Amino acid sequence: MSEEKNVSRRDVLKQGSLAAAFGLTLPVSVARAVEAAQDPKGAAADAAKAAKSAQKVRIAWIGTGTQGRNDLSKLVKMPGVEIVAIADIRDDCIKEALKLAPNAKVFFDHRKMLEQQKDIDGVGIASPLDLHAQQAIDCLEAGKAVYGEKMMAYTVEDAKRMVRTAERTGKILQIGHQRRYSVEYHHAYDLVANKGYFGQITHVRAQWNRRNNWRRPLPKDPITTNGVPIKDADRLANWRLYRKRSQGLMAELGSHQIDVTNWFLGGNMSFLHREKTGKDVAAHDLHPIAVVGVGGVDYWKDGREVFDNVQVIFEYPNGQKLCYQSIEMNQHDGYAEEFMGRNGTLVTSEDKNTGSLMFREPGIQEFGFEKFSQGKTEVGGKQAIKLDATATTSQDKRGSTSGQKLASDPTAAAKDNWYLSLEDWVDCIRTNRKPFCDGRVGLADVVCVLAANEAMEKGTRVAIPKEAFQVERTTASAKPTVAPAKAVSLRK
Amino acid sequence: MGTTFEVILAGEDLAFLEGAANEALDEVERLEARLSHYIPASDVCDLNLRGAFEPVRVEPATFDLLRRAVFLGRITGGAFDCTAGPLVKCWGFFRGTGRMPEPEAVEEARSRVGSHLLEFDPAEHSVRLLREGVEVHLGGIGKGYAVDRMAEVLRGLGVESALMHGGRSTIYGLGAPPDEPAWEVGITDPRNRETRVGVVGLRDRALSTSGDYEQFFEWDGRRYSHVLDPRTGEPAQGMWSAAILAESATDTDALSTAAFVLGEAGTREICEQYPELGAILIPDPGPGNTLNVVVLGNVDLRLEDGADLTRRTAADE
Repeated sequence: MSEEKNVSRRDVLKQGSLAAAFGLTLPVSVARAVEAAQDPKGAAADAAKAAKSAQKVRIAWIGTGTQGRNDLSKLVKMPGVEIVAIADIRDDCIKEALKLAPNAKVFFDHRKMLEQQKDIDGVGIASPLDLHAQQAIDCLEAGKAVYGEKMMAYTVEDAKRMVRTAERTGKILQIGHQRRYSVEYHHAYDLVANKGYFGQITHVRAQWNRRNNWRRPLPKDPITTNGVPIKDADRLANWRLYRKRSQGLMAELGSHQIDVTNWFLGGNMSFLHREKTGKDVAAHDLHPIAVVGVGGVDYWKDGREVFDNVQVIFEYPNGQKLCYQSIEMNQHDGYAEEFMGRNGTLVTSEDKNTGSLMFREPGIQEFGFEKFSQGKTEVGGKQAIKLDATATTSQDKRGSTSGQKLASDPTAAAKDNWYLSLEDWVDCIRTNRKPFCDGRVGLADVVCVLAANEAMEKGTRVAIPKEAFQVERTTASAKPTVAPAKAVSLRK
Repeated sequence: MGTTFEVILAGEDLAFLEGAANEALDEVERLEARLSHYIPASDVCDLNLRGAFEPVRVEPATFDLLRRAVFLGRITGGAFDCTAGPLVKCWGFFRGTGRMPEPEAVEEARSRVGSHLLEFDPAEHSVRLLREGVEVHLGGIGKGYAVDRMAEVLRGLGVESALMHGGRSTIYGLGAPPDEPAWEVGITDPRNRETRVGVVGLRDRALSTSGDYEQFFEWDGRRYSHVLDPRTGEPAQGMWSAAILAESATDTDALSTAAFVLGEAGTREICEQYPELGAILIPDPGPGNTLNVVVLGNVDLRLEDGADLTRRTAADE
């Protein structure tokens, strides 16, 4: 710690940026958070200066349920951000949202909002999944920047329409995969993609297990819209449980972790390429080529239509597999992603209690990161990634070789990734730049999720052709199609 | 919040009640993320980290809570103070069990304590710390606030009967159990915690208790409680336990701490000024004396049969 504090922010800036020193492409907000960790006072002074001159950004928000209000609760803390309008149909949600944004004008239809409230710079969307695409397209066409909550859209074609509209209008479209804005995930990515400490990643295991029936209790008084009771309120309040609006667990939970896998495996491929050829290549997300899976409504038989447990395996082009589970009757192991390489395993998690952990394979003596735990340096002769070499309890439970904890400086986490994701979007609006997690990233995720759902639904292996990820219209079918296993010959 | 929250619901529809309880507890989790001293991204940590250098925007609800804390500090003459953190640290009660500090350290800590060191900007819902080293700590009010928010969530869902508490020290009775006039809550003997001295009924009302049994250390034959008097910088003396009843658990949480610090005379003044309040004080009776229960203001305490107690009320004076 004491060494880290000696790294002055100016030293860091002298070298260009910390991001450059990491060899990483960091979102601006994440780079700032990392810098702030090095010199909180300097960062605060800079932030104070920036806040004074912060250009006002006027935000509107569509969908003010739990997720939308959580988004708003981050935005209302940002200097210069003003919530000027909200749109929803539920009176109870609007009432709660107004506690966060008392000056917002209320609309019951986002189109009216776009017509009447002309001073909006950006619109966030946290509505039920099936509504995302049209609302986003309406906002983009009206010249607004858009922050779309994940999953991006209900269908692949919807997601593609969103990307096309954003690219045609030149407007900002960011998708809410907030792990892409996590200081800790960026540190972990650096180890997999640039340092290559785990060697070739061959398998990924990920899960999101909860002991929770996912059903929201309905208030005893009717849910109303502008004072009028809404019919079949359960279908609205519990839209996640019904297929008309929802793509189930894969979309609501799995999509985050599939996205991280695509991102990290892509980084690992660029590392392997560099190892082999000595040449740098830009990292691109890796996309799966096929998926199998099983799911069902097997425990919570309460009228829901989406599976209460899902188990799927994705295959990637070089034979990597992602084995994914999400169940709702047991929360063992919570939520995490495990990247299993020839030299060791990296566990990432948004769960602060778990944090990121590293495990060395037997027989692997030297694992670059020990250097850091011995206080050796990374940036400007100073330690940049803090590795706590203390063995953790979860390592003991696993009975594996040395488990080590990857911990970013606590002050770097002073703004969580959710905040940083939204902060970066606001910065994109101010500086008119492209978002780090754009519509194409979101689209790839939709393709993977829907292919997994199709595989579980049909009980067959679903091949995912490359064209499925392309936005440009092609003559080939862009839809994932059912294919026999031997049709895939990309594995070595 | 480093404590256990629990909610007990009465009714028939179990699936609904379980869902409602989960909603209430989810709200506590969200509040913890916003108010905890231990979570770096919380409003409180963010304010403490940056507040001395720039005004820090916090959620409007956090802003309102901080202002309420300052208001409660004012009506108690500073006996409750949400900026007392430096003193708590100085006396070793922050993450430890307490220790005797050097007088200079207490003086230094006191210079960083006081709500006059907070500056509020309602238009921006931002807060500034007017000195470096000032810290906001909502430990003395956050539990009560969380209990209030739980009750609000349950009411919003149409729940009519529930009892909830945060760490057992702040309890709220929403409505009453079926066919009963109120939720009955026991007041315990501060030195024999298994023994009840009496029972109070809670119906849409909160009760908070502060006691010297919660956390203390002994030095040179004296017991030093974790409740510090922010006005002097010393541990509060003379009270074994102080309970406050009111409609808002946010208020009772803060005011029970204040009552513990203020003692009988000071608490009586506040109860007279705010007739809605009730207080049950158990002062240190002195060696060999019988436990003495002081009941002030708006409270109906039913003493346990056969308890070896004397009872004084305002009317006795």
